[in-house]
Amino acid sequence: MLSVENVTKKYGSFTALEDISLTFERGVYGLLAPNGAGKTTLIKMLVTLLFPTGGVIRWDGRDILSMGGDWRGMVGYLPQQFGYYKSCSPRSFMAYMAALQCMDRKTARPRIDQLLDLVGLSDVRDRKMRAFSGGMLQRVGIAQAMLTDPAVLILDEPTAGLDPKERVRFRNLIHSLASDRIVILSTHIVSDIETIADRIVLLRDHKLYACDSPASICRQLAGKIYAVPAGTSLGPGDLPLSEYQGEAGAMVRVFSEAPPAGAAAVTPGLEDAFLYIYRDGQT
Amino acid sequence: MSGALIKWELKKLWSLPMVPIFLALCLGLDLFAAGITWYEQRDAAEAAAYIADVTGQVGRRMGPELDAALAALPERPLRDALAASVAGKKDVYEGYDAAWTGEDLIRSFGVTGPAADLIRAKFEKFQASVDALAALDVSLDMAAAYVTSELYPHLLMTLCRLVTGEGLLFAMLLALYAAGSERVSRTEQTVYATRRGRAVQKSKWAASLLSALGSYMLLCLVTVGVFACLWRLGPIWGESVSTQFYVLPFFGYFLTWRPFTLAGYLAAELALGLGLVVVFHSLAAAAGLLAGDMYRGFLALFVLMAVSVAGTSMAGNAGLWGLYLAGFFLPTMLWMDVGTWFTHGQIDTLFRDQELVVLGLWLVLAGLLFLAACRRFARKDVV
Repeated sequence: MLSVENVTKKYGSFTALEDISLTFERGVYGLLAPNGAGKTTLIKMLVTLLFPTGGVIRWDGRDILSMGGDWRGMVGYLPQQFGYYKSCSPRSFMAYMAALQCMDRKTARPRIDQLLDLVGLSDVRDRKMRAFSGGMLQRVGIAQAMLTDPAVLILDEPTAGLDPKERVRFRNLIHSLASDRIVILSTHIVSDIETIADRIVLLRDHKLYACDSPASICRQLAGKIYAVPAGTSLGPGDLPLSEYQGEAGAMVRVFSEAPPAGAAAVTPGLEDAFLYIYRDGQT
Repeated sequence: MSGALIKWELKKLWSLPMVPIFLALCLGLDLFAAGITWYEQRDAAEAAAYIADVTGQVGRRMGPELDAALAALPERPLRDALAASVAGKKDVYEGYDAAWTGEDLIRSFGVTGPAADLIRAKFEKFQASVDALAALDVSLDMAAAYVTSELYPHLLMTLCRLVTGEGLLFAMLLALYAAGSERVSRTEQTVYATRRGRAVQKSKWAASLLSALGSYMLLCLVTVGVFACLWRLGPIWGESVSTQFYVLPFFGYFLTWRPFTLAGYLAAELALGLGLVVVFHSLAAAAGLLAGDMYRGFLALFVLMAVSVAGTSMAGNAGLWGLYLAGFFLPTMLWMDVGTWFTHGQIDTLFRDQELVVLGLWLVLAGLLFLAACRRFARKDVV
């Protein structure tokens, strides 16, 4: 079990995260918040790239900072900006990562081939990554994160640069990987996690806003989301969330305590919740 | 540190085009420096080759026997020039007063106060070394006779300064690049989040140090090799470096604390240079880690080095002799004195083997500084 206990991170007078307490058990956790809310800060503390100003992060009761390499060896990490060596092939890059993970060559070699196959890069495993597309690079990043078959897999904005087909493929991959490990997936794209996350962690104002199942989060807006035709005048308490193209033309999804004139109640989705929670540009 | 990781880091380092290109440029410059001097001094090279050839027949020790043996050689202009240059030479170190040399230097440079006393004391101790050199009659070594004054400085000062300078610069660049390469390739988050973590910097240090040492040795080997091919010195390599023919302007006879042959002195000089490569490499690695960026690290190191050289020089000009002498305990000033290492060191050194002491001191200090930088780096946020 991974537990974040009263963790705060400050950069001088700026507080990036304040008093965060969370517990992670097996399953997929979607870390959902707009850019700048502190998702990456939290993730970087989980992989010991950043050190908390206050609080502690524990794995099975042990401080991860005192565990050092033992902890990092249990974690697979795909950073938000996945860097790579342009003159390297995926296979040699993975071999280098295996050396950094202290894996012996005999174990590493078949594992690398297996993972490159899993992410669909077998055909280009010996080609230099210089010419790779963003999606291909991201897949190399995912493969390297899985190298040690980690107990905790942490992916920071993993779908950036992926096309819709790759996104679906990626979601399926994550879902299959999550059965026996903790997967923490940070994103600001709701659809990435809506269907695969067991729990959603929401950060707001650099604090923990909620950690709950998607259904539970959506339930808070039950009976308060309506669809109205675009151009309908709204009341002072009504909050337009998103526009979409309905069968009768352009429609607007609206948050409202009482149904606006001509509105039809709709089932709240995670995107509605996201837009409502982070209304007015809140982070 | 693991051997496998060091191999990886070596591979990464040498896959950068900049690294082999820089080494090739250094080699090119060395070949040019060795070649151009040989070309400009073809007559001297021919004379040196002639002297090397006849040394086997006439002997190497100057005196009446050598004069007679030279007279018996077939007549030719090179023989005449050689005979003229060695005729009537005496052992100039017999009765040589080291204390007088010390006083002369103190007076010439205007050294005062405790610094003057320390230099005076050093020259008093140096007398024993001069006496030992005199007992060995090294001043009577023919060496390359009248060509020595061109040959020795070219090899021991110009080429050695060039090779060691290149070695140090290359070592610093390698160390700085190794320390900051993950930032440049934006891989630091991926790399430092692995089991090895930030400790990978130690493997990088080892890989860049091996590269620096290997490159330095290659530079030495090629430069000395090319020099040896161009200047066919033969037995001259075994002649004393303190022959009376080797006189430096404002320095006088090339008197060393212990006797050296030309080959021995060159080897000692290049070996000390090897030690300096280790020192500068570790300092650069520490600077790279502390600055958190290879460019900032290079700038910081460059400024510190420039300040140390300029500061020492200004201290001498301003008559701050304590500061001036302290400056020669810095690795930069040690390098500046390349070519006169193991000599009395004029007013730059205070005791025998100061070069070795300074080198040893900085090997320890640079090592400790690097370890301290690693320790700090291990607790530094990777933003």
